[in-house]
Amino acid sequence: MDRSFLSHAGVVAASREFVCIRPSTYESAKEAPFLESLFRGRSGNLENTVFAILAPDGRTRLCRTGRSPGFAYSSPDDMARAMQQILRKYPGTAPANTTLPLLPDVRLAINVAACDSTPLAILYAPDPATRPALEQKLIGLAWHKNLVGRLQYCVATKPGELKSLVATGVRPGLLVVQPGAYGTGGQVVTSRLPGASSEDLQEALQLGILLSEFQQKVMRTHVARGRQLGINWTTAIPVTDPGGRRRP
Amino acid sequence: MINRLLPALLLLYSVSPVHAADAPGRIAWFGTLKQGLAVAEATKRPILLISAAPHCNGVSGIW
Repeated sequence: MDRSFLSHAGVVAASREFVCIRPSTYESAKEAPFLESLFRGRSGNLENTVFAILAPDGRTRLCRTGRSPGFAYSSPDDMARAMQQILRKYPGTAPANTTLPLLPDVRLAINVAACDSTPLAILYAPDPATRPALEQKLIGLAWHKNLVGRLQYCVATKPGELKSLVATGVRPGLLVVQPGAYGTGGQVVTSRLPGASSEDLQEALQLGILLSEFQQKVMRTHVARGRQLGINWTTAIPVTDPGGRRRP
Repeated sequence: MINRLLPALLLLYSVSPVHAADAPGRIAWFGTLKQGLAVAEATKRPILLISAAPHCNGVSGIW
């Protein structure tokens, strides 16, 4: 991803008024056709990244779609200005911060958290009745000015979903996970029961953020070391990017 | 291990020049099309979309 655009202060500020969606490419057969409809590379296939700005209907394109923001905008400043213009036309009728932004499952969520060098917050609710109250508190925290965008979130309902985690005596509630460098597992660094207060949950999330701040990655060394370690991520559907094929 | 390190980490946090409140902002992403498109439709807000593969040539943990 092009971080020079997506970490730009003006783009981040404007993003708070957008609904920001980041599907994981090649991780859903259902999502792939939609992504392909937005952009196919020279090979005619879905490539590793797809970029678009769309109207609220999810169909109308509001910029040139492509592989990255650089296909549509000459600079991050240009993108920030364009986003503000779009907001004047589509100001929204309700806030978007009343929903917990979720990843689809624990396995992928650990990997995404590792990619972002952020902690993962798992709402572990084997009993569906325990989910709503805890989720409501987490929604408030996920969009809190000190925490917004700084964690990933997912839901687990079965113990088997947590098998890649290092943890002892896991109980339902909030699990804050520090992902391993390669996102194939993680460690529960702290947890809270479903009845925990918002303040207590926030403390747990902030501890996770603190621990993740010590992680740094350099693409070249990360990949080289990963190959030495035999890391080989299995995607849900075949990788079709000409430059991104998995090793046999 | 974490419990043993916790006091030191909290101390480090308390004296760290960069707290969460001061740290550069990050975009908050919905991780699935289904959820994100539903929120956009319900709130009539525009969509910023970027899809990315969470691996590099099969090595996970990096975009």
